[in-house]
Amino acid sequence: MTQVLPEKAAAEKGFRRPTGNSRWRKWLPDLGQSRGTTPPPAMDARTLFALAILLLLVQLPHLLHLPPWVSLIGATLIGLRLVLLKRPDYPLLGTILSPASVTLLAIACAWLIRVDYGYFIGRDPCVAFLFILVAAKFAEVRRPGDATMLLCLAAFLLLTQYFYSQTILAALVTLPAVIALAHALAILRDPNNPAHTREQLKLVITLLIQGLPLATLLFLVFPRLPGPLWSLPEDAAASTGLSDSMSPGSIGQLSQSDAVAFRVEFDGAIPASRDRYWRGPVLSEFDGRRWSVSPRLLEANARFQGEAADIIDYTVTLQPHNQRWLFALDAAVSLPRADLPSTRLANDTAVVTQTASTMGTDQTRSGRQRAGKAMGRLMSDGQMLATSPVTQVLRYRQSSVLLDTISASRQPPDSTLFLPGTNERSSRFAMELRQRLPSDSAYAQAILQHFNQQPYHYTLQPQLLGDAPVDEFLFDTMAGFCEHYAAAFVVLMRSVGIPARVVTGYLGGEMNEDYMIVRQSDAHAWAEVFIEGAWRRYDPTGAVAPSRVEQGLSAALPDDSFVPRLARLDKGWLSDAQLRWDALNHQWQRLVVDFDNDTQDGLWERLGLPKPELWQVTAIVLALTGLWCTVVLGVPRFSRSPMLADERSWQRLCELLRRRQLVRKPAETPAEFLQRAALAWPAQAGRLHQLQEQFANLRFRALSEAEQRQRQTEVRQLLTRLRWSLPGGSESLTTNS
Amino acid sequence: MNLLNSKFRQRLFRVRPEDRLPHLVSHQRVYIVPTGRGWAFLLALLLMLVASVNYALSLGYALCFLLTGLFAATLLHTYRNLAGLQVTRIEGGECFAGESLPFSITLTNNRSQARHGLRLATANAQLSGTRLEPQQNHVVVLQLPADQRGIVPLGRLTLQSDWPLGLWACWSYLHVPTQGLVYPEPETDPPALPLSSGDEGDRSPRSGRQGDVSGLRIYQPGDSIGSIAWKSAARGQGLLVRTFDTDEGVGKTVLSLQNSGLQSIEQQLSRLCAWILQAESQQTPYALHLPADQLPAAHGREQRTRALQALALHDRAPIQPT
Repeated sequence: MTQVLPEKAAAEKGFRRPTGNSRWRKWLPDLGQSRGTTPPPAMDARTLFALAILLLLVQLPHLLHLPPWVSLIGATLIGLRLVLLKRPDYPLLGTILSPASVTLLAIACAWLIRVDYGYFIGRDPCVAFLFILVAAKFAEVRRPGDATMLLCLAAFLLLTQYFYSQTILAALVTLPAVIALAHALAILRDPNNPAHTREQLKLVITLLIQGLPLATLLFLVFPRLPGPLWSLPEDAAASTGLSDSMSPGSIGQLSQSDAVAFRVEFDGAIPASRDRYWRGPVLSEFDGRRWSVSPRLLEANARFQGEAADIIDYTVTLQPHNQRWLFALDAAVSLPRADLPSTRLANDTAVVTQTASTMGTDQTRSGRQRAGKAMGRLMSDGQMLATSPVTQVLRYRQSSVLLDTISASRQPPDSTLFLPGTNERSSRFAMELRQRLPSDSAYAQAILQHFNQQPYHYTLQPQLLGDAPVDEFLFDTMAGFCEHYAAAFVVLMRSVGIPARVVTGYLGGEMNEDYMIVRQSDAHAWAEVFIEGAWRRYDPTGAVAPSRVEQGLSAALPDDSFVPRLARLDKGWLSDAQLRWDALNHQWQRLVVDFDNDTQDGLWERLGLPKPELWQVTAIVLALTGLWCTVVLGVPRFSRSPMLADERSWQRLCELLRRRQLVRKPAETPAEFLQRAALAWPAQAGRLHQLQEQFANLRFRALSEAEQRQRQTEVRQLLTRLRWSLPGGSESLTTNS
Repeated sequence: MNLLNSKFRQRLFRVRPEDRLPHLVSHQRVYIVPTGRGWAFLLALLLMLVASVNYALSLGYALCFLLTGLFAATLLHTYRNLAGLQVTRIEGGECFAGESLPFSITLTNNRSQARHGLRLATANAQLSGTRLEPQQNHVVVLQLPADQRGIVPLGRLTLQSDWPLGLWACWSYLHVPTQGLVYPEPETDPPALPLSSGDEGDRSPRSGRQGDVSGLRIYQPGDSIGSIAWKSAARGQGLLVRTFDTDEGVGKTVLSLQNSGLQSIEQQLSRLCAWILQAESQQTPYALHLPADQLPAAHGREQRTRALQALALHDRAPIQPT
């Protein structure tokens, strides 16, 4: 009997199908659909829609980072499945969405992803494949049993968006998806007997809200394991920000970006604009055109140089740039360490006294430094390197002293003197100038003066330079950006045998409320020259365009040149709003995204408690969970029905009268009972009669909801008045009538 | 198996041999475990947590814990959906073999919220998707398959629900010694009713109405509409029923195993059952003579019930008082 039915249904289906199709249908591969023997999908439209909405919401944030073709295939598969739902007899569609062809498509996509990314076993290609897989699974989903797997995959895909962005927006985008996930679960529970969608959504949101305290508790106390459990082959992610090499134009390009490089919170006074040299990669290798980082770097000790009172303590929140540089104000006197927010609040005074008592020693530094472990190393060229590439937002504490001279313990390496010999005109110019001057430092000053007095221009759009870029820049174009000046300066130094190198980093930064934003548009390059046993900073850009150093990029450039909007001086309301948004994002970053083991420990300290043992944490969690259970179980009235209000009022009235020794007899109607009450308290007969009428109306008349509510309010008022007017009370309850 | 049925199991699972009605599903008697989908969901959560740990995704942790909170809140709601439910009454019905035996179960929802997605099941029957409105009694009818005549106990009743999200299944067992009665299956095409033992065979079965009206009596439920004395009803004398002058000696129908003319006892009972129904539809009084039970001639609802019960219980244990 059961076997006959599908064939019959199929026969009917086949009958409806336009006959013209049979001509070309025979050319299609037989994928189980071509004979028209498909049983109709067992999954109903409502379930399918709920799943489709869930998947679209999950897919949405991924569209930002996936290759367009992956997004397109994923979204199309979902769309096609919905079309198939509306038009189940559409011939080609059934074939496309059959399990076999969808599997083939998924395999093909896996191969394409391999080609597109160049590798497959990695985070990004796997996310792309999961994206396709979820859509493909949905495309061929037939039975409610498949939906379980689909939901789990969707939940995981929802998580993977955080690989790419953990902003407030990313979190907000997740919420509808979570609601859709729970809603899909609710529908899948009993597809045949679904409740109203609004009711379902209300229920689901209630569940989520009730789960929220537990979620928060877990978020706060769940131990954060340090370090990755495994690592996939490095994802070849494009880096933003400074790179390990510099060729003419590279920093100029970077300066056109508004993107945030890092944010800084200063513990004390904020350094002046011209002192904010954030040291980044130091480029000492030169091949005639391209400057790059020396491959042979030695580790150096973080040395304290100078007065302790000059020390500036601050916290850097570095955006991921996929490189190992960490940035610090020149010159760093500590290693970057993990941030412990609570100790900062508590220890500020302690820091000052301690500094005053033991000034200028290494012990002071370690004493001032909080317990966090070092997050990077300081190299011999003054550059700080993290232990691994910064792929996530990194927060570290740092101390610096504002110095433009770094004393060097060892002789500079030969590479800081090397010139490929391509810039002959520059060399000749340098020799002649040096011979006329008494000292190296006078020579360096003379060059700065040369830049200042000769018609050199500071511009973001310099002309393209040829094989001898320094020569061309110095003598022909005479227009360039900071990297041109820094490079030319270093070349002129090396030409006369003075070791010199290019330092890249950021200059400046803009205060936003209580913290500083340093953007990519603040990227800068300057020179360091080894004179008299120390590396001295020379910024030739300052000689050409002093306002660049004093006020920032836009002040130094003519008005018509392109400057990123947020780097301009007059900003208007839009950038004001953007700064507020950035402030919010910064707080979010600090409080939520950077929540880690150290912050966790800080929580206890903030509460004034010692760091608890594991069993204590467990006990607290269990106790709070128990409390949560009690509260959730004991708050049952989230869907109170209006119908019951009159019932409750009636019970209240009965209780009221019972306490005054008037007990309703089992077979007594409300009317009879209240008449008896009116006899007992003739003064209240009017109110009792009113009440009786109201109860009868509420129970037996078809009233609108608003009217019901109004009448119920009246009943409650009557009851209250009755309570106060009736003599006697609960004291007379001692004897049972 | 032995161990499972032992007292140990009763203690362990607090399974009492029988429950008394009205029965309140107390928290001690509610069991709750994740469903298959619930386990899958947990596995997904675990994987998500591992990914969050590995990539130090703070929002990943947050998402995991949000879903964990949802999972836990669902547990409480699933539990609360079942706990506190009251089973007020269970009534076994009757049916003929081959039909389904109805057990009407009265459930009382005392709280101010509806209870959803309730599933009632016994070893061989189930009823799902029951929704109980707040503060109301609901009668649900569970249909047990009944293949053989006799007494059919309800057995262990399972009250079950996976509302609201289908992640947790919670259930409670109920042992109420309730039973239904299954009559023999009436023969589909029975021969005509046998007539009195006096002059057998040559008289066609006569219906009661063919006799003379002997008097009136007060209407009782079950009396044929055709026998109501409408004239007297129209006169305002209330519903009266004409009684007929049936000749006991001449037209008496006696049904017994012997005159069914069959060998197998079940077939005999089956034919007797059909005859009783036939006699009832014809309003013919009949007597039933079984080895254990002798019913004098009569007809009407009461006679029918007693006769069918006698057939159902032939050679079976008597009905236990419930």
